Amino acid sequence: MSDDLAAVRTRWQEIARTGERPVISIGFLASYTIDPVLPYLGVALHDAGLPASCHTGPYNQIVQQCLDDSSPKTDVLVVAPRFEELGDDLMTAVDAALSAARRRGSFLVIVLPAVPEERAYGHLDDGRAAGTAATAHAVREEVRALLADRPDAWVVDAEQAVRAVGTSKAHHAAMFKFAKIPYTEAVFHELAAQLAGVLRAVYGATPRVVVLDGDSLQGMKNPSEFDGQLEQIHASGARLALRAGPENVDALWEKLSAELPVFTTELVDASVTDCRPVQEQLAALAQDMGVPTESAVLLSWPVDLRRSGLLDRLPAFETAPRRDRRQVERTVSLADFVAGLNVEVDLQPVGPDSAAKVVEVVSRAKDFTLGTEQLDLTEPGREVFAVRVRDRFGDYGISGAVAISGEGVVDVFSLSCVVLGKGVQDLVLRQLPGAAVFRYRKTPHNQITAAFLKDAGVVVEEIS
Amino acid sequence: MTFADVVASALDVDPAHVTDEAGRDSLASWTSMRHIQLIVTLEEAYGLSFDYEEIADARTVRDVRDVLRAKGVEV
Repeated sequence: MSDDLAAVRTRWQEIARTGERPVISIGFLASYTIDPVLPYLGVALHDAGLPASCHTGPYNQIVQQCLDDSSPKTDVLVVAPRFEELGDDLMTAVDAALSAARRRGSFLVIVLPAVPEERAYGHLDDGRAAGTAATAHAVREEVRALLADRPDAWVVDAEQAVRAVGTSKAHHAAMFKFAKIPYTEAVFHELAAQLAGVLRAVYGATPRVVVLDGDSLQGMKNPSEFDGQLEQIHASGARLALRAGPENVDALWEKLSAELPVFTTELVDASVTDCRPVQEQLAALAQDMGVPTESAVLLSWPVDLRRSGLLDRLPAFETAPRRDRRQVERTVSLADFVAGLNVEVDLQPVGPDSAAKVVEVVSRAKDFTLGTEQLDLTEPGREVFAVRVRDRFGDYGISGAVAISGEGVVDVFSLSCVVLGKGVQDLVLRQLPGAAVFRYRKTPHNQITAAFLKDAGVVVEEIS
Repeated sequence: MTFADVVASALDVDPAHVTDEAGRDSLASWTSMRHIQLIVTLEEAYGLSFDYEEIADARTVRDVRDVLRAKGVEV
């Protein structure tokens, strides 16, 4: 399996180099780092004739990005929340996603969160109504009920992906600590397969004509079982055709009519019984019935409807049942949401206990950073502050650093991506004592920070 | 597949560029996400696991080689 996964990732690099023109755009918002899913999904969609461009939003900013209408508009919006990061706010994220997808005209896919491994009541958790498992299952079903049978949204299931891989092989603790990636590559591979299946159903060539393989039906057993499948095909809206070789054609019609109560000659829109190869017969039937050849699917005995692709259909817009559900109108602004996080920021001079962590945070900050990657804490004439952050979800510990000289020059201002999207940078600015000018040397990573500072109205100086 | 091939494949560079001195500062393609791909590819190729410090501290090919050697892999 691992060789296969590495090969898929290599293929994705090769595909990316071709500059293939995408036919669908996909945006990802997750409460964790979801980037590892991209190679597997990209290759699966490429192989399905649906090359995609993928854009991942910032870490754990689902609600913020959904409320922000300047976020990129994509054909598909994939939203992947986890209980571990969002807790009771998970439904808020789902509601915000539904609202954002509607405003942006995106097809929404929610990744149902897996049930957390850590249980509040340990071994007794499963028996408690307020236990982690019971709560998680209830929320999962609420999400499913909210989206079930909608033509403009669907769900895939992280729990199913974890189960397919096995719990013991589904998580990588060190990678989560390092990059907030909670799952192994194998889980992302499973998740990508689910996502690709949904997107193929939405954007791929849908079977519109079912061609019964008459030759194989000669040996049919259990006609009653096939009768039920014929009903399903008919109900799906697909049209029926028949192909066979020239031998025993009359006997075939007789057999079908005698053994299949649902089958009538009126049910079959077209038929071909000649000596041509099967693929040529299929192409001819498709042409006669006015559909592309790839929309005609051959069904042979024994029939496997799931494999035929006939079940990979989403409900039509006009027939999709609607459930009673909560209002998902935009009732909260981005500013309201951020204010509700109750973010607290604490700046303390760096000491022996915090020095190593501050250096690490500054060296790893890529999304919000003003200054150097290699922070020298011994540089004379300046004071370095550790930025501690907490909000109503928890304490993030040391999540950034600011350095200021005696003349009020700030040349280090870095925040970990984990705390972005919460207004932390504004709070740091307000608390920073005596800052006269923010000085930076342009790098590929500090343009966002420089722009933020300019917008904030402080003095910013670029040096060469 | 040699060690250089595995590293080159994960970082999407020519194997000739996989020298001990090459690192996150000198190889433009060695981004944060590529670093993660490198680690998981090495774990898959050699059937071992990196701990947090090993992932965070690996900044050059030499660092990576040292981690693998410490785990008994001849590279």
